[in-house]
Amino acid sequence: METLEAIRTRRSVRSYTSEPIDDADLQKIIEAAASAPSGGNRQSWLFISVCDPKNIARMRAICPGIVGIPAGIIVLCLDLQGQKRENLPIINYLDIGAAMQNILLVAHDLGLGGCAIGSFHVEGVKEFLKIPDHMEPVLLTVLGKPKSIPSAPRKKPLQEIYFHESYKEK
Amino acid sequence: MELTEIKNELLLLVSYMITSARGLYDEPEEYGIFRLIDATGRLLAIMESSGMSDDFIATLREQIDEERESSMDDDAQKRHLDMMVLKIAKELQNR
Repeated sequence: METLEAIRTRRSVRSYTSEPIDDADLQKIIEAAASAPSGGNRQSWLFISVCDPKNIARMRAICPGIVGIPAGIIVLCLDLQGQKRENLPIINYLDIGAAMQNILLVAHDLGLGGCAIGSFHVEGVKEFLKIPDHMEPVLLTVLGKPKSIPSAPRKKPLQEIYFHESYKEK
Repeated sequence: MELTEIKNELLLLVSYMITSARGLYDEPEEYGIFRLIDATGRLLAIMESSGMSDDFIATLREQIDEERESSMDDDAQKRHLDMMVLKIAKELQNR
């Protein structure tokens, strides 16, 4: 799939079949996440995949943002590097966002549906997945074979959100 | 489904509801509506898989699943929920 086509046709998929995710596909997805740009090439991230249906059921119990039953969950964590979460530079969080977008695009290219999830209990997820104190789960990405694909959501017209050379008041 | 399994499934639902309640302190208010709908869907799924379902409950589950997977606007969602409440109220007269 062409990159632009993948970007244009990707949707946030929230309903999945029970088909598991192929190991080779999961590997490609994680490699894509780890290939994302990061400020100063810090790569201060860590990815944890959860594919056992029992563990997915348990994760759903502490992650209210997960709708439907995905075949896999990828937890994107940030290394706090000895700092408090609120003191970390915003670029560290943006790096996680870039990794998440890579995950969603490659998953889409592989015929999987996915959705980024921000509604989950951070400490609960840390406890359940035995994530060390210096790592902070920032985002989840849920994946699976789509049962249904939502129609394209309305996007703001470029005239509203894009200016060339300088900003112009409307 | 064995009783222990039902108990475990219900515990997962309890965990979901408590986590949702905590999350709503930090999340948009309208998420509360969705969490209740999702919790209902999860409960109906447990009822179905543990042999506590019937035609009415199965239909209700389909409608709830449709509700939580759709991207209805507020008005359409209110109408859909109203319709479900009326159906349940009618059903309750016969139970």
